[in-house]
Amino acid sequence: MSDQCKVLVFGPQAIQLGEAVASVSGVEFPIQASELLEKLSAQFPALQPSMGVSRLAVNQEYVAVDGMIQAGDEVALIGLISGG
Amino acid sequence: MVEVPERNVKAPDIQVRLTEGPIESPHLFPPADIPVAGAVLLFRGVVRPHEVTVDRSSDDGELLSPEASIDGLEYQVYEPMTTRELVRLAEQQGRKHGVLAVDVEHSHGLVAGGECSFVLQVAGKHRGEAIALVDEFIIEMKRQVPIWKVPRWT
Repeated sequence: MSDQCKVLVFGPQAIQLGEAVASVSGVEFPIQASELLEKLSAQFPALQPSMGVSRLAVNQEYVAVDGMIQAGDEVALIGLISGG
Repeated sequence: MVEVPERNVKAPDIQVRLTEGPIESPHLFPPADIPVAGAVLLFRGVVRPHEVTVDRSSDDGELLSPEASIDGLEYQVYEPMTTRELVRLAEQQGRKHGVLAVDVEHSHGLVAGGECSFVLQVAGKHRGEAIALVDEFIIEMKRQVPIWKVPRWT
């Protein structure tokens, strides 16, 4: 049975999306980070231009593309960062 | 015989803080227990009064969009990850360059044009390692640390 995964979105990407949370549907947990990024890009075209410079954080730590995401994890899209 | 540069073997003193709004005055630096610093650097990042309006540039760096006036930049952070990544970066850079102390302060929230949003202070035994750290730290911060800025257009 597939579920939703809420992904926190910040800064310019949140403006492009028009929301601070992207709810990705059709997710089967556990899901690999790379697969979630693909679903995010496919379901939210506004994010596509910046997906190449984006990574996921899970429970506030960067996750590798082959890292696994569990149901209930806090997931954030980290892209277009620009401190300073 | 190749001369190996002197490196600080003690872990550098690291201080990191986030401040709401502009940074009015830099934190007192270096710490009193670091008496051997021959070089103390202060870098202040200041919000420019103009930003490019759409895409920043083409692949070859040519400016595509005109600049427009802004009231300021709205900085967004993702705590506690932002602080943790700043500490991690300061520790990594401090060890790599062998400095004595690193002090980082970054704004969140609105910072108006002309105001300071970022302060990096570095103390080293000699100037070389401190100067090298400043540029590399800022480059890596823009790659690794979850801090976003959004222009507030005039």
